[in-house]
Amino acid sequence: MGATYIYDDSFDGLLTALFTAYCAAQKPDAIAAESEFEDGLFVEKVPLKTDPRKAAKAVNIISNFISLDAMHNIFYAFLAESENHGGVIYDYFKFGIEKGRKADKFLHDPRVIGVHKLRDKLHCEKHRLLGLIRFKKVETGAAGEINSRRHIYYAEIEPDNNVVGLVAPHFAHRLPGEPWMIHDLKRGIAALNDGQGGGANWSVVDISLNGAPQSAENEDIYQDLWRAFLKSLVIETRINPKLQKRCMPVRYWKHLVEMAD
Amino acid sequence: MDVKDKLKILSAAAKYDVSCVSSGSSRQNTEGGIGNAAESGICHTWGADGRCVSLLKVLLTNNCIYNCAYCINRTTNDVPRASFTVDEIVDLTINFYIRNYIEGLFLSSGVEVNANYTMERMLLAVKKLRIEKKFNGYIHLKAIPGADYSLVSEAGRYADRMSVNIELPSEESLKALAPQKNRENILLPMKRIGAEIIEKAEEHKKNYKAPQFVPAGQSTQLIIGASPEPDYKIIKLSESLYDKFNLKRVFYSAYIPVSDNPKLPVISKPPLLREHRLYQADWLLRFYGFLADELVNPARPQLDAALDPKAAWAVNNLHLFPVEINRASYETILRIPGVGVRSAKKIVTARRVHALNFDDLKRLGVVLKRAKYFITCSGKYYEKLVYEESSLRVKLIGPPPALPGSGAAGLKKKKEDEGQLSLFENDIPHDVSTNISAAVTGEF
Repeated sequence: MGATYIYDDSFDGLLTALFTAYCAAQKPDAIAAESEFEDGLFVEKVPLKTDPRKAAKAVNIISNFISLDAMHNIFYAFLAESENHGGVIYDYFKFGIEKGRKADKFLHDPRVIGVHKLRDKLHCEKHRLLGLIRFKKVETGAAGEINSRRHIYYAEIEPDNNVVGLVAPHFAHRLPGEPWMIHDLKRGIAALNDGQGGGANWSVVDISLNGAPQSAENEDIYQDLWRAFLKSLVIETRINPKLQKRCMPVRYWKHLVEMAD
Repeated sequence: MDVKDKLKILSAAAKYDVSCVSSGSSRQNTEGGIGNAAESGICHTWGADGRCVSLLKVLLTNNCIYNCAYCINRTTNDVPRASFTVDEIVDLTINFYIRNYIEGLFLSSGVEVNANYTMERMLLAVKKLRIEKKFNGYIHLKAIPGADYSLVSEAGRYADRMSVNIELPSEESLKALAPQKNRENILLPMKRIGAEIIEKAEEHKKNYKAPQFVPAGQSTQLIIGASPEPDYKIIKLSESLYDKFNLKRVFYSAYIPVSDNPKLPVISKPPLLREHRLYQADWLLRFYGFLADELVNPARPQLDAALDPKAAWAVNNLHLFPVEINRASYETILRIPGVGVRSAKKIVTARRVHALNFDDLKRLGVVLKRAKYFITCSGKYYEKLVYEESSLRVKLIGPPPALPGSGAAGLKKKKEDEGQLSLFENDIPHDVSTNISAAVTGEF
C-alpha cells in the first residue's frame, strides 16, 4: 500500500502536499486534510509540514504545466470545503500533469469533473450571495468607531462554502465609502471594509461578537419599506411558492430581511 | 400620505411591467461615489410569484391622462392615486441599494399633465441620483411616448437601459384598446434610441472617455392574450425589433384581467404556458440562430403547446436528423432538442480530445431526455426507433389522449382572418425610414 499525505487544512498545506507528491519517486495513494483523515489499518500516514516555498512552487507547476485556469479551479475546489476535496484535487492534479495544457478539455473524465463540479458549486453560491446578502445599519458605539463614524453596515451569512473572501471585492468596489462587514457565522470569519474608499481596503479576519449588534436609527423603517415593497409587487394570479423556493433555497431565508419571521 | 403608502401604491401600479433585468451594463463606480453595475446582472430576491426582483420598480406617479383598456392605471379605473417626490425616490433608491436589497432603480410613470412634463420629472430624479448623489448603480428608465426626443436623449445619458412598451402587437388592437395612443409615438422614440445607441457606442469604442448612451440597450414589452394576434405575428414582430431596431430584449406578459372592458377577452387565468412558449421561441431567435419562419408560419400560426418550440421544429424537420455528436458543427448541435448553449459548448470542447459516447454525454451534464431521439454517437443510436413524426411525438409527449389537457387545449385559438390581423400596415410617418413599416409588420 502507498502512503497518504496529510496536510494541515490550509491552502498552502494542500499545495505543499501536491508539490511533495510531484517530486516523490514513490507517489502517494492519496492526499487528505488533517481534519477529515480517518486512520485505517493499512494506511501509511505521512504528515507534512506546510512550507510556503513549496506551495509557491506548486503554483508555478500548475500554472505553467497545466494552465492558469487549472490553478483557479484548484483554488475554488479547495474553498468548496466538500468532503475529501484534497483527494479530488490530487486526482485532478495528477491528470493535469499527465495531459498538460489540454487537461481541462477532458470534460467527460471523472477526474476533471470532480474538480469542475466543486468549482461550479462555489461559483453558484458566490453569485447567489451577491444578491442575497443583506446589510443592516448598526451602531458600533464610541469604542467601535470606524472612520469617525459610529455605524457600520453589517451582514450575517451562513454559506455552504467558504465564499466570504470571494464576495468581498464586489462590495469593496460597490460601497468603498461605507464601513461594512460581512460576517460568516459558520466559520467565525468576516470580511471588513473600513470605508476609506479605494476599492481595495478590505480584509478577512477571525471574529466573534458578544451578542447581536444594535440597529441604528431608521434601520427598521427601511426594512419595513422593503417588505412592504415586495408584498405589493406580487402578482396574485401568478403565485408560485415552488418556483420561489427553487430560485431562493430556504436555507438562506434566515438572514433575509424580507423572509425571516 | 407617507412614503410607505406611496410605495405600496406605486409598486403595485408598476408590477405588470415584467422586465426586472439588471444585466448588460458594466458601469464603474466613480471617485467618492456609490455603486456600480454588474455585467451579468444580479437577482436580489424572488417574490411569492417566483419572479426575480433586482430593481426598485416603481412609478413616479400613477396619475395618468390616458385610458388604455388593458392598464390598471387608466383614468377611469377607481384605484388610489399617489406621486413620489424626487427626493423620496432618491432616498429609497440609495437606502435600498446600500443595504444590498436592489441593483438599482426601474423608474416608470403614468402620464401626468402631458408627456414632456412627465419625462422632465423622471429626468430630474435620475439626474439627482447620478450627479448629486454620485449613484452608479443600474437605472432602467421608461421613455414616455410623445415626449420631445431631446428629453429622451438626455435621459439616455444617465440610464443603463431604456424601454418603450409596445404592449399591443398590432395597430388594430392599439386602436381598439388604447385609442389615445398612436403608433408613431411608440415606434419613433424606439427607432431614435436604437440609432443613438449604435452611434454613441461607436464613439465610445474610439474614445473610452466619450459618454455612454443606454449601455445595457433597449427593451420593450408585449401583452399576450389581450388581443387576437397569433404567435406567428408576435414572433415576427420580435424578430424585426431585434433586427431593425437593435433591441436587446422583448418581454412577453401574459394578459392578466385588470378590467371588465367588453373589448377585452374574458379569461380565468393568464395564458402562462403560451407566454412560456413565446419566451422559448424568443431565446431560439437570440441565441440559437433560428429564424422566426422556421418556428411558426402562416399555415401553422401558433406554437405547439405540448412541445417546446425546438422539439416541435425538430419533429417537423426529421430529414435533418439524426445529428452525429462527434462531427456536427456547433450550430447544428445547438439545434438538437434539449441541448442548450452550455451543453453544446461542452460537447465541442470535449470531442476534440475524445470521441464521445452516450455515457460521456451524461457525465458532461447533457440532458438526454429529448436529445437521445435526435443524435448518434460515433454512428450508434441510443435505442431502436421509427423515424417519423407521429412516433417521435408519442415518445416525446406520450400518446395523444394523455396530452396535458386543459392548458394545451385552451391555447389553441381558432385561426383568425389574416387580413384583420395585419400589423401597422397603414402609412408610416415621414421621419421614420421606409423599412420601418416592414420592421413592425414583420412582412418583408
